[in-house]
Amino acid sequence: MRLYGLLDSVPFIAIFAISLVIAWLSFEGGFRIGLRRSQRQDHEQEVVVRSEVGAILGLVTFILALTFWIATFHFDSVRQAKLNEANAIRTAFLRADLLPEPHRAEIQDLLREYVNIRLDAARSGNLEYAISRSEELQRSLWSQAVAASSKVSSPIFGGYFIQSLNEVIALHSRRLTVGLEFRIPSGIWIVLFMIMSLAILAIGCHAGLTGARRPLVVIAFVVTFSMVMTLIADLDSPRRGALRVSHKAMVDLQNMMNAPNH
Amino acid sequence: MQLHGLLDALPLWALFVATFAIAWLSFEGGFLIGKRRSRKSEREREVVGGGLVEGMMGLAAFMLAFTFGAAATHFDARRQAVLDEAKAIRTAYMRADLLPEPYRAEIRNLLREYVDVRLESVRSGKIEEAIARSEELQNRLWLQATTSSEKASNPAFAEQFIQPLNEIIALHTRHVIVGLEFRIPNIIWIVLYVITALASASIGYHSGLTGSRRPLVAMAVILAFSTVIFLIEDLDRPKGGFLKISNRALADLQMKMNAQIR
Repeated sequence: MRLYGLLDSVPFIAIFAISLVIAWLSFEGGFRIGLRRSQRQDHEQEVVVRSEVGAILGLVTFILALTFWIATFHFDSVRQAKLNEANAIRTAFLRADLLPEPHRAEIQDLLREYVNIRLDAARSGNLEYAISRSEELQRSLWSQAVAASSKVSSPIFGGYFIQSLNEVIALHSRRLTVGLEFRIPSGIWIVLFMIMSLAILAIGCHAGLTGARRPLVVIAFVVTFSMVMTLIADLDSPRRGALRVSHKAMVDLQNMMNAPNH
Repeated sequence: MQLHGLLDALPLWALFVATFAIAWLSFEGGFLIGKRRSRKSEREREVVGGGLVEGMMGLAAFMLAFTFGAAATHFDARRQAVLDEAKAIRTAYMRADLLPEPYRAEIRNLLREYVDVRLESVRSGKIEEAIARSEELQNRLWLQATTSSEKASNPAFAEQFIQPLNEIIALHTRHVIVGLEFRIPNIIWIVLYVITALASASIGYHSGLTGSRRPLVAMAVILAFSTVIFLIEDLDRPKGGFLKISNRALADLQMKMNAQIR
């Protein structure tokens, strides 16, 4: 049940269309049920239904809004994780200056490649390769660090470089977790769609009970809910859609590393 | 990023007027449609009263509230960035005492200029220039630190200085990214405006249907929504507006540094 895997292959405009269709069908269904019942029911029934509709709408609004909040939070975490990673790499790169040659040049080359891989992966979307290559580079960096720290003039500098390298490695796995696992679970998506269609069904039922025509406001209502659903889906997938996490921190770092004085 | 450019170029009061106008026109549009419908259908108004408009208003209010929360978080992050930076610069400035001359004096001059550049950029608004100059100063500071570490009597002292210097460099990146990139994304602005317009239109539609025009109440609702959007925009702007980030921490630091020379 990896529904977000499923949603990931669908363009956002399709998610919008699907929510619209589901919402509209629910309304039509509810409207027909209500119309059929309207002949036998007395007016009192209508008042009860009205308050029930209010309750279910309140619930849907709450859940939708909170899911939006969670999605915003995830989006911000991805942003934060990227920034922290860029900063850790920069610190390690600078600290390599305190290590003796040839380790210094070797380590700085490895870190340069580390950053290039990240930016390439962001452009091409080929994550599998980037992850395995990054972990390979981490192992080479580590053995370089260990070798360098035994030769360093003062063990303090070796120790601090190792500390910053540890941070780079830790933030790599944190970023993977945040980027790939911090998603809205499929269960929540199913519940969201279900309660949205139930709420709209209830509205339709109420509209049918009163025997009125289809109210025009339903269009605005259905569009609003579908838009929020699409926005949540977009926030939830930070690598595609209109909402993407920027690579500015990494690009700046790449420029710094390739600058002539380094 | 074009929309941000456009939104930032407009003064805040113009945005407020534009938001208010959009919401008000939507209300009037909804009112006209509702009035036309009311001749044909009498019972629809019960349906519209039965939760549809309330549901939409509720969702719009929640979305505004959560976006407000996100903007306030970003505002706090920017404020925190200034504080952290001032703290790191102060620590580095003090620890320069542990380094031998002539590095000590040179580093202190560079740090003094670093603070001046930051405060000057706030006054003049030339951000790009200040960023470039800061990074140049960072390079020179780093060069001083690494050369002094080779000559320091005790490398542990040099390390004591290098640590806050790394922090200064990392916090600069954070400051730049938080200030320029941690904004409310364009697509969320678009959705907010569409939802607000649709919600205002449905209030208008409802009052058109019932034939009871209460412009004062509608005006109050629209005014409240526009004010909140205005506040979000103000919080979201990196510079200017009514909500400014205080640079007091940096100004205090500048005063202390200058007092020490005399």
